[in-house]
Amino acid sequence: MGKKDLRTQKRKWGDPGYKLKKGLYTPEYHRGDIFLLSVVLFLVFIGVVMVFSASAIVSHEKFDTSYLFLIKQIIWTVMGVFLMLVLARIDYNKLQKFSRPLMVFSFSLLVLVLLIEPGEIKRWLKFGMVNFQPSEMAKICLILYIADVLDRKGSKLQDFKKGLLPILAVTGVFLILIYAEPDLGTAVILGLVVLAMLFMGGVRLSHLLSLVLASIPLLYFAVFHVGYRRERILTFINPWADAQRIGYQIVQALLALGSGGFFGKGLGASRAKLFFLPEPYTDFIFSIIGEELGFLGASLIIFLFVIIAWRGLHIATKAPNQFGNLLAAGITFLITFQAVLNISIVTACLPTKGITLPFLSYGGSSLVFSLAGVGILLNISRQT
Amino acid sequence: MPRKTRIISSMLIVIFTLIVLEIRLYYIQIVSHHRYRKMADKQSFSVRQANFKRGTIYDRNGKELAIEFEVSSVYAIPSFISNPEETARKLAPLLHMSEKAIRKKLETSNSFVWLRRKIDTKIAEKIKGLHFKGIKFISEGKRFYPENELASQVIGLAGLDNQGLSGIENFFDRTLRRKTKKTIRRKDGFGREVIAADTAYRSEVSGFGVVTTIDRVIQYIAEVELRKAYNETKAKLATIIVQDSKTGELLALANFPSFNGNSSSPGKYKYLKNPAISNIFEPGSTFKPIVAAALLEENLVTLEDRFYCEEGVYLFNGLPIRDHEGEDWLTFIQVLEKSSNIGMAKAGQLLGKDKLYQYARDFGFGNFTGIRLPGETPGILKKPKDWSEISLSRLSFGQGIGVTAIQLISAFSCLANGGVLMEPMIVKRIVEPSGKVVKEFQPCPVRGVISYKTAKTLTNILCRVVEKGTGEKAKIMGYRVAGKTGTAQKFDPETGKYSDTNYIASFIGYLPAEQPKVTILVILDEPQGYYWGGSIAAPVFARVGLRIMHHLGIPPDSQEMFRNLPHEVAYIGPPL
Repeated sequence: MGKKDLRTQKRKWGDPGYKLKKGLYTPEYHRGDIFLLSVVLFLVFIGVVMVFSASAIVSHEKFDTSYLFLIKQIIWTVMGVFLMLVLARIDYNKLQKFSRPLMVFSFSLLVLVLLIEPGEIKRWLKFGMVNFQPSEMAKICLILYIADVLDRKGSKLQDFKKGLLPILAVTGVFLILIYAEPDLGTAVILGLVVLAMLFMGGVRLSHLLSLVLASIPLLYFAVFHVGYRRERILTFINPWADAQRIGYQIVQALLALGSGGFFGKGLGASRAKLFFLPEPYTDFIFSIIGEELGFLGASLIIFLFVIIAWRGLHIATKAPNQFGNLLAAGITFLITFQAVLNISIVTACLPTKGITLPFLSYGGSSLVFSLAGVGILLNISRQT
Repeated sequence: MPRKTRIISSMLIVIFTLIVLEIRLYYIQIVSHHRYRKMADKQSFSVRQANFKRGTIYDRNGKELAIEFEVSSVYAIPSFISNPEETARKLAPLLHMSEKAIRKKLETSNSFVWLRRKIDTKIAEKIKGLHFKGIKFISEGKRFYPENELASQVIGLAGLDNQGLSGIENFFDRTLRRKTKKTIRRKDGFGREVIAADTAYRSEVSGFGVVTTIDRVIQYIAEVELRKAYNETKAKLATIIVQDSKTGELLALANFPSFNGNSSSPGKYKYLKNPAISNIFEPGSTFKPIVAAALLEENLVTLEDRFYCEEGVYLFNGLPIRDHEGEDWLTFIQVLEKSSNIGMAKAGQLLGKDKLYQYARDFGFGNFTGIRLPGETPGILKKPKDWSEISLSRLSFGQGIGVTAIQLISAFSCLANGGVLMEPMIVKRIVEPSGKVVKEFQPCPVRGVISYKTAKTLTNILCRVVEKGTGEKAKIMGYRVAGKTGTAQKFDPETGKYSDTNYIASFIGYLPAEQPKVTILVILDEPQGYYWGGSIAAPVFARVGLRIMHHLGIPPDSQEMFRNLPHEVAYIGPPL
C-alpha cells in the first residue's frame, strides 16, 4: 500500500488518520501485519484451550475447582491482548525515550523481588492472588534498551571500551540479579538475546567471539556448582538412568509426546496430565499438546513459530530506521528463541531449564510481556 | 557484514533450528511411537481381577441375610497437605489413632499413604466435612450379615477378601462374585484408579443374588427353641432342621454352638462346619419307621402281627438286645409305639439283608443327598456282604448305620410326601441385582420309595406314637402329629462298646399328619441329665411345630382340637 493512496482510501480501523486526536497517528502508518497478529492470536487461543486441558485435573485436585488456571489465564490473556493493541498504536520511536527510565524501573523491581520476597526462590512479586515476574518485564526492557544504545552509539560500537563495555556492564548487572533469584533459564535466554542483538547491531565478530569464550567459565561455574542443576545436566545425558526420580520429568514428557503418535489421543485425553507429568500446564505444555493433538498439532505449533520468525524478520528488515530494525529483530528473536529452547528441552535435546513456551504456557507475566512485545512489533510493521 | 545480512542470518538460524526440532519431533512421535506408547500404557494401566460387589443372599421371602455395603477407607496424599500438625490433631480423635502416628504417615515422602481402612461411614462423613486438602476416600466392600447369627452356618462366611469360606457363601462363591474375568484399570500418577467415562463404576455391577429356601421367621423360631433346649440340657451339640415335606425345601437349619458372621473375633472360624450335613451319627429308634416302611411295602407284616418281646432282654447270636421296658406280646403297631428294639429286631429278620439294604439306599442313606452346601458326607451304610451275623438285627433298630441329619429328615419327608423322596433344597433361585431371575431351582423328586398307601399307613402308626407312645410330649394342640423318638447310645471308639452315659436324643416328625406341611428334626447330642428323645427332644419339636403352624397360617383340625382334652380348656388361637 503506497503512501499516496492513503488519503483517498476509505478509512478503516488501524488506518492512518482514523484517530487524528493529539497526533497519535502520522500519515506514514498503515494497517500493520495482520498475518502476524492472526498467528499470535491463534497461538494464544490454543494456549488457553491447552492450559485448561492440562490443568483442569490438577486444579480440581488442589483447589476443588477445575477452572482456576483457566480463569487466570483468560484474565491475563485479555490484559495482554489489550496491552498489545495499545502498544500497536503507540509510535515505537517514542519508546526510545522511555528505554532508560524503564530500565531503572525494571532494575528496581529486580532488586525489590530479591529484597522483599521470603523463601528460597524469589522469582515473583506476590500481590495477593496475582504473581508478577519482574524478569519477564526485564526481557522486553533490556531489548528496548540495547536497541536504543546500539542505535545511538553507531560507529562507537567498534570500540570495545567506549562502545561495548557499558552495554555489557548493564546487561551483566541484570543477569546477575536474575541469576540470584535463582532463575538461570531466564538469565541464559537474556544473555543469548543480548548477544544476538549485539551481533545484529554490527558489533565486531572478534569482540563477540571473545565475549562468548569469556562467558563459558562463568556458565560452567553457574551450572556445576549448584547441585540440582548438575543433576539436571547429567540427567540430560541419560534420562532413563533414573527415570523414577531425577529423569522423571523428562521421561514423562517423552512418553507423553511419543504416545501421542500422528493424530494424538484427542483433545482432553492426555494421560500424562493425570499426575504423571508434574505441572503439565507450564513449561511442559508442549508435551501435552503433542500427546493430545499428536504430531499434527505439535507440528502446527512449530510452524506457527516459524511464521512468527519469518514475519518478524520481514518487519525487522523493512523497519524505517535502525532502532526499528534492532527492536523488531530483538523481540522476534526473544519470542522464537524461547520457543526453540522450550521445545528442545521438552524433546530432550537440551537439559531441563525453567523456560516457558511463549503464548502457550500458563503464566501471566510471560504472556503479557510476550504480547506487549508483539504489540511493539505490530507498530513497527505499520511503519514499514 | 551489513546489518541486514546479520539480522537475516540470525533469524534463519532460529528457523533452521525449529525445522531440526520438527525432525526430532517426527522421530519421537512417529518413529518411536510404539515404544513410547507401550511404556506409557505400562505405567497407566494395570490388569486386575474384576472386583464386583458381592451378591446378596436372601431368605425365601426376599429378606436380606447377607449383604455387601460400602465402607470408606481413608488415604492421604502427603504432598498436598500444607499443615500436617493441625491435620493430625483434628484427625486423631476421629480415626482413633494417635496424633504422632498420623503425623508420621502425613510427613512421609510417599505420594500415597493409607491412614485407616474400612472405617465407619459416619466417621468418613465427618472427616469429609472438615475439607482437608489431600485427605481422600476410597469405598470398599464389606460383608455384613443383618441378622447376625441367624442361619449363620447355612449362609456361611465370606472372608476379608470377599471369598466364600463356608455355607452358601462358599458353595455359590462363583455366582455371588459373578465374574472373575480380568479387567483393565486406569491409574493416575499416584496409582489411584481413574474412573473414566468408558469404564464401568464398580458398585453398579453386582454379583448374582442367591435366594435361599430358608424362612427367616421359621429359622428364628427354630433357633430360639433350640438354644433354650441346648442351654437346658447342656448338650454338646444341638441341631434342628425344618423341611417342607412336599418339596424338600429346607425352611430352617440351625446348630448350636454357632457363630455370628459380623463378629470380629477369630473364634467364629471354629464353627464354620455345618454338623447337620457333615456329622455322622447312629439314628437309633428314628430309623425304625424306615424298616417298618420296608416291611409294610413288601407285605411281610400286617399291623396286627404279634411279636414276643422277651420281657426286655433278648439274646440274639449271643449278644443281648435290650428294651427300655420289658413287654411280652406286642402288635406291630405297638412295637413302634413303644419303640421296642426286640420287636424290631425280630421283624427285621423277616425282611432280610438285601431288602433292608435296598430300602435304606432308596431312602437316601449311604449316599449324598445332593444338597447345595459344601462339606456333605454320604454317611456309612455297609454292603450286605460285609455285614456280620448280628448286623441285620441291629440295623432294624438303627444301630450299625451312620446317617446325617439331612438324610434322616429327607427320608421322613419321603414318608410324609406319600413315598416320594425329594432332594433337599437350600437354594430357590439365582437372581440379578435387579431381581430378574437367572436360574430357578425346581423341587426335584429323586425316586418313589414306597407306595402312597404304605406311606399313609406308616403316618397313622407314627401318629399313634405321638398320641399314645413314646412321643407323647410332641403333641401339639389342634394338629395331628406323626413322629418318632430316638435315643441312641453313642458308640465309644475307645472301649469299642456302646456308651452307657453318652446318648443322642432326637425327635423327628411331621404335621399336620393328614396333609403334611413341615418335617422337623431335633437332635441333642450328649445331653446331660435326662437323655430320652421323648422327654427332651419331643418338647422342642412341639413348641417349634406349633409356632410354625401359626406362622404359616395353617388352621388347626377342629376334631383334633377337642380330642382328649378336658372340656373346660378353651381354644385360643387363629379362627377355626
